[in-house]
Amino acid sequence: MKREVIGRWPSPAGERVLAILVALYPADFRARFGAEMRQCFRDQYAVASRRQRNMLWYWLRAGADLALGAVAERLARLIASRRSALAVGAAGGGGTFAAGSALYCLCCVAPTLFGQAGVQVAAELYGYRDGLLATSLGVLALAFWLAHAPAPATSVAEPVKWGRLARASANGGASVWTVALFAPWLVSLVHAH
Amino acid sequence: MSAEGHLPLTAVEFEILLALAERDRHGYAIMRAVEKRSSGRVTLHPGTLYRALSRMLSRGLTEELDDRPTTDDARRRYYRLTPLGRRVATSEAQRLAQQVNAARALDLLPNPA
Repeated sequence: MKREVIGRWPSPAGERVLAILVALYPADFRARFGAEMRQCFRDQYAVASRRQRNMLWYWLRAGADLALGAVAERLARLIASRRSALAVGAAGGGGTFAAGSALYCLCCVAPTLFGQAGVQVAAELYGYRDGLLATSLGVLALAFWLAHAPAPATSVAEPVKWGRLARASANGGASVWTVALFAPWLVSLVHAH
Repeated sequence: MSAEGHLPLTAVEFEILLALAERDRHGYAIMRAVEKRSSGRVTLHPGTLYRALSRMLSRGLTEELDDRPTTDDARRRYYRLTPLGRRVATSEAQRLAQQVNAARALDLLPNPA
């Protein structure tokens, strides 16, 4: 296909404005489509310049389209990343949290079942009231993480590292909470032996 | 996801599918095709076009060609419809046709001679 563009291209100042407008887009979107968008803009500008002498109206329309598109693209990603954060949090942090809570409940019941000295001490250290408090703190920590976690981006070229980081944060945070919950029991178990 | 799962399309997405249903095109050629078919009533600008193309690529409705005409600018990327994109375009056209028929039934449109 032959190029059909004959006309004026944007001035150097116009090229700088165009570069700034394209730079408003997210980095991966820019890397994928930035050069094409700029070329399209130049081609459309050249054709429009054949029809009209004053290009201000074109700049207003096409410039607003680029700027609003950048805002919309970033907003769409923000919304999508929040959804992803919730999903990752539920799968990672929630799963570990549930496993830790189940283990805690087992420890509370274990003295009755097995009568082991170490577990008995743990049950005394962690009465049901303390357990309720610890669980509440865990839920709050999980909720805080869900609200502020680094979320994986959903885009054309999704950076995998953010997904890994989010999962690591979820599992790490929940693991720390679980270890803190059971640390006194582990200490008492060591002392009992 | 089935073709119906992608409906309804936005007006811009449907215009792009129509342009690509005719032949493989690069971005600027899509803009020109849309403007020509609508007799200048619809003008796509780069921001709108490439945001829509990005969505359609990620949904598998369009894909980028590995090769391009040797006579053309090497910076341009060509796009084409995928089989799913073609089915979605057909389904959307049928959906719109049903709406047009409903409008005719209500005398909002003249019946074709």
